[in-house]
Amino acid sequence: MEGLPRTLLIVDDEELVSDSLGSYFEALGCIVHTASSAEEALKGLAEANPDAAIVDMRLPGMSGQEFLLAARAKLPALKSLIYTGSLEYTLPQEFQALGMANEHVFVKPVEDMKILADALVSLMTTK
Amino acid sequence: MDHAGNEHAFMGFEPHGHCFLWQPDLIALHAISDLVTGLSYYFIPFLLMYFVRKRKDIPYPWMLTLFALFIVACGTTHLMSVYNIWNAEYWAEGYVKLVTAAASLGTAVILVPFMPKFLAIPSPAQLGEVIGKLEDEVATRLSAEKSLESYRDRLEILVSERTTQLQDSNAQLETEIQERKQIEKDLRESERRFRATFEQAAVGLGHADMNGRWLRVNEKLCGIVGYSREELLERSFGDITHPEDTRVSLEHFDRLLSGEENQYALEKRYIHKDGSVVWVFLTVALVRDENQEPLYCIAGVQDITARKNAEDRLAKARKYIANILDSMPSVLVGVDSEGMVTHWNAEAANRMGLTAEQAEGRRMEEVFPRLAPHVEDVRAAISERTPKNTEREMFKEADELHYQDVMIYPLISNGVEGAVIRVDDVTQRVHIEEMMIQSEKMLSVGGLAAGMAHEINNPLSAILQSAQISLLHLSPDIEGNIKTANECGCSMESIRNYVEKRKIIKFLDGIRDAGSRAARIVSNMLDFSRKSESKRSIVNINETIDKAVELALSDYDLKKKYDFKQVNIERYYDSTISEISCTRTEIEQVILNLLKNAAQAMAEQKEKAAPSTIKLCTSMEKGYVRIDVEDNGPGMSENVRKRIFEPFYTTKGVGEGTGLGLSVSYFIIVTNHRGRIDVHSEPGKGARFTILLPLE
Repeated sequence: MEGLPRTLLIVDDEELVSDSLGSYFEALGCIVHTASSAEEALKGLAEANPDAAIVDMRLPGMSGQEFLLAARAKLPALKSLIYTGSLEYTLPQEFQALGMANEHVFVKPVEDMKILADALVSLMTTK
Repeated sequence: MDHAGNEHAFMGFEPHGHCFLWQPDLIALHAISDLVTGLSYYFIPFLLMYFVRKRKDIPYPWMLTLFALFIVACGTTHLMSVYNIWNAEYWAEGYVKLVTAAASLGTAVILVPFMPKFLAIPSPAQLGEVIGKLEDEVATRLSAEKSLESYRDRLEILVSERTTQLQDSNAQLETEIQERKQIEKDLRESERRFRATFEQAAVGLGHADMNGRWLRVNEKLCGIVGYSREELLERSFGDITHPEDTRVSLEHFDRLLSGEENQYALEKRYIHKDGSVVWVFLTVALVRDENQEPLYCIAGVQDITARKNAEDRLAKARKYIANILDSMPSVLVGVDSEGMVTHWNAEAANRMGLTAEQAEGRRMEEVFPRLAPHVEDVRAAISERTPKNTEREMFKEADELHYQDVMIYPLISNGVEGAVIRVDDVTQRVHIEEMMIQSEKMLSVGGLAAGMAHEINNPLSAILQSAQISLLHLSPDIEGNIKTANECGCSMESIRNYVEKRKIIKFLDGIRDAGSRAARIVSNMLDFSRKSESKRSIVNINETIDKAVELALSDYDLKKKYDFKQVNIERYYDSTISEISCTRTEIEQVILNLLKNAAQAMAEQKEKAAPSTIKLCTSMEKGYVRIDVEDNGPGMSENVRKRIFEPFYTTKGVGEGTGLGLSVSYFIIVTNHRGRIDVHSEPGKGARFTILLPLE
């Protein structure tokens, strides 16, 4: 699939969710790194050096939001999608300041992971 | 005499004695005869005069006087003859003779006509006869006198008796006079009393003539109208009557005069001298004379201003209370201990179509059939002195189910036996309560859903994604799959063959479908917890409905299960409808949901009387925009209708509906838009959903 990030980081504490997403994007040709917590993801961030990340917000320990802010501090070019189980979720001010919008927020479950793939493509093509 | 003779002799005549030649004898004869005759003649008149004096009964006494004068004159003549024997006074003797002649002639002349009268004078013989008779008469009289004397004796007795009687009657008269005096005294006393009564009576009294002019008035009457007695007596009672009461007063007065009434009484108004209104109770009676002619009227005037004012206030208070009762939206029926209607307020009249006059005095259950089951309650409430309440009692009116609250309050004030029954039609309230319960249910569902959503969505995500990956990894045209299959010593074709034969693909598709449905349920549930979004815009409802119809026509589910194109859509739009502020997508969702339900219901209907039709109507209604979505499908029973907005309540087959569609619609309309949604339906008669959206 054209336009997908070369390296993708997936952070989700639900193993089946991160694994299925990983398998899906690997099949589409991405190099996928998965982490089940924010701390784990941060640890390997420099080594993995992802172009984009799909991050769950409710995580054990550090939250998805804290992770994203920290990750962006380290990798300012990092693109990200929010993939959350909560329909209540509203985009915080800090993320809006980072150029994120509602279209980058996806509520679990998506019926087809292609929706996320399409979103990533459009995310990568915008500056 | 000698001397005189000498004088005459001197004048020429000679004394008559000379003729006698002075012969003493002759002279003596003449002289003595004439003297005696003369003196006798003089004597006769005295006798005559005496006679006349003594006998007054002699007729014509003046005749005797004349006769006496004549005799005196004759006597004088004779005396003159004696004188002239010695003297010569013949002229004097001549004059005397002339007088005598005149008297004689007069007497003679007068005597002639009197002759018959003298002849009529009874003669002494006749008189003798008369005297004889008289003597007889005297004798008779004497005897009569004797008997008279005896009479007199008896008379004396009678007189003495009569005297006694007279004395008695005198005494009686005296008594009578005393009595009269007493009566007069009494009369004066009575008069004084009546005057005092009239003057000092505590009511105004007056007498008036037939023109109404006051003839007499007492102090009190003056006081009532504020005029002095003099002022009042110059006026008629018409002058002091209130203009509005003049007509009725005159009518009474006319009837009084015509005899139709003997007296009349009425309450009317006078105008006080100071201009204020005085209410009086007036009684008027007419006094007639013995010929039935009217004499005067007696008017009794009582000042009832204070009472009238009190009555006015009472009437006002009564009116005010009645007004309060009539202003109540509740039916209020007063009944006595026998269950007879004693009060019937405006709402009762309105509900039952009977006026208070028609209803009062009749049996409660007769004029208000819905109260028939409460006759016993009323009796119990009164005897036990405790209120009886029945809430949400069902009744049918015009084939529709209604609810009423019946409250029976016993009257507990002293001496009044009865009860007040308050009946409220609470149908509306019951419906609202039902909706509130529903709303409550949905809110709790919403709250629950919000908490659950995250927990459910994550595993759902794992299920759906895993199924998708599994299917992806079984796909024969993906390079990675082929490679891995080869490494495992088999081809992708054989694997594909295997999983299809073992229906693994079908099961995985099933997992995805079921997972997707579960995800939609969660998503719908979350709609309840979502606050009304600020995505409001000014919307034309007609266009919104058209958009929903368009969506319905292209809806995948609709196309798959029911052919929406087979349904006639009839639009009855009010083109002048006001635009309203609402969340367009939500309203679209609601309309789409209703269209889907209608289409589905009509598709399930086996026997159709008419082609499936959905009517869409819009109109304005008292501050709302009204939308009607009406189908001619199978309709629904009362039980279904009551629960139709409940979450998870569905009539569709298992797996066909979430049971949330109408609940969400309800939530969108009622909670998010502060509108109303209601359904009218009966089995076999289709269903009509009505949405009211406020104009704001």
